[in-house]
Amino acid sequence: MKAFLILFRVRLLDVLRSRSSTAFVLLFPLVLLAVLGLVFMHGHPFERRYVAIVETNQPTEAVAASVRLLETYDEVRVSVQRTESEAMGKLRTRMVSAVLSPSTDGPGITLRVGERDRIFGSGLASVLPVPTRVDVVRAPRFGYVHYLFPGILTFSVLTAGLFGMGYPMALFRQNLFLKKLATTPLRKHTFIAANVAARSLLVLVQVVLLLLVARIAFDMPLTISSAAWVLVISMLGVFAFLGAGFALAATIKNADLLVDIISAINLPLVFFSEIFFPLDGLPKPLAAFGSILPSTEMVRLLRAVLLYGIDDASHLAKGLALLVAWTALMFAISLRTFKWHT
Amino acid sequence: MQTSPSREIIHAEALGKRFGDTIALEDVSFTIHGPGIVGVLGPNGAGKTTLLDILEGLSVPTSGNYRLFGKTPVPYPRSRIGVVMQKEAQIDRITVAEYAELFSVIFGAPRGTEKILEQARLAHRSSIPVTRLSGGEAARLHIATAVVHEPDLVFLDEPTAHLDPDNKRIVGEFLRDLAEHRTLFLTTHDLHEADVLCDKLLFLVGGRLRASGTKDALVASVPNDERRGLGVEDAFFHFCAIRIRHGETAQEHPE
Repeated sequence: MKAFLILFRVRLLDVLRSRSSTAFVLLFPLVLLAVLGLVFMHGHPFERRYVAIVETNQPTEAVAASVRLLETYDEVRVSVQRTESEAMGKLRTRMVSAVLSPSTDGPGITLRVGERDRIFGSGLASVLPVPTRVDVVRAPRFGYVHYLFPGILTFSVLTAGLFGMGYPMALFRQNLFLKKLATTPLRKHTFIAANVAARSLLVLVQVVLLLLVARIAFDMPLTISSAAWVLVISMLGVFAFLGAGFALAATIKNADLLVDIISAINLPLVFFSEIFFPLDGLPKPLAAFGSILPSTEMVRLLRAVLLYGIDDASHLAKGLALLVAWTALMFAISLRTFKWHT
Repeated sequence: MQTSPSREIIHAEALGKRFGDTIALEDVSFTIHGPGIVGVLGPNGAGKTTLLDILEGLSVPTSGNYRLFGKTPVPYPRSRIGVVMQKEAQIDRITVAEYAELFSVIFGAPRGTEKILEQARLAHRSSIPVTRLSGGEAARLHIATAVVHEPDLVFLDEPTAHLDPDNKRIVGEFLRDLAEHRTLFLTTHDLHEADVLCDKLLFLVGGRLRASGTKDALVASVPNDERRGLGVEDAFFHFCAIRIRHGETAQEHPE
């Protein structure tokens, strides 16, 4: 019993004597509760149904009247999409329940719905103020998996970047490898570049494997062009996250604390990065915060090329530029703060 | 590159280092001419590693300054320096050959991998992980790695600590060979090792240099009534131990 008490005390004090461990054990669940509370304060993300319309300079009166009516219903949201293929991509991946467009053969509108939304489509048609034709569209069996795939890929790249770079760097500091290198003529740019290259190659293989499995097992739509874009976007993403991992490791010297902090950052990022659901379901400040994250941009770019058929570089340029900016910022911080030896 | 005889290798002037309120090193001055082995002797916490960190360019002194090879070390002459740390990096999943190759390439040493393996007598162990080497093997590997680029000056922080007597002897012979053409600046608290290996000694206690000089000069300066025929040990106790016991500030002994 005495041994039990001593061991109990030693183990308890082991945590309590480390401010970081105590903070992580006691505060992290509270932070998680606060984050999830904020994320879901307006209900769960699929409580509302989304109806997509395609952005146009001159909407028909029928579409405009329908949108005005839909906006009076709290349970329905109108989601404006840039292109027809984007709207249909969202229908196929179950992110919208219907696509509303001007009728091609009359003054009314056409409402396209998936096979599982026939009742919703009929109900909607019955309340709309204009003649409505409901077309049932065949959606892929794994539609929501297709929606999730860019998020899963981003999460893998995010984790590989933050953990894959941050943790080994902190370990290298702890086991004195960095101090050893400090006694040599090795330039820190060379050291950082070699680490980035090694991790990037592993991530590249990881991405290719994910794409293959997604294509074979989940019928993921994939073309040569979209696959090439996925690789480009993934590489830009991994550079940004490796940079972030390096910047964290340059700032936080203790490997255990670093792991705690990366874990604490990782989880909220999942909710703020459109991995499982769109940001417009979040309170506005959180949605604004989420929209500037590199993970969100990466998810959006991947969805654009994989699900919405966008392969024109000019349409992707803004997102790609944001990833490049994040990469530059993270490596600038890393190079500035990194020290071989403290 | 080889050190010319009697050329100034290290000159330290009033070096000091503080960590907050703690004085790790205070007013340490000395000059070393090469080649040969210089031993910094002192008990744990004497400031030996702090002094080495400063001279290795890893730490900035809070007072004083130093020169290496007659020049202020800015930029630090890494290619002329070799370093063996007290606790060498423990890198998982890297073989002896890969470790040797890494440092050969970093130092730009032609045929460096073979040279390291040969010098460390580890060619037959080249494919095993570094972490599986014995203490003696690891010490030889780290020393051979530190001199692969033929540096003029090598810093070694307690290179034979934790080695058994046989390995101490092997590593000692290795160091003596290396010191023929270069200067080795090593720390130790093994008085016997210092006696066998070193040409010149610095006695460091409580962050202050108590005495420095050639081994022979220091031993010769011990009064007859304090001599027990133990060489460096007599000198160390004469200059340091009694003063440690009484908390006195020692008078520095000239070279």
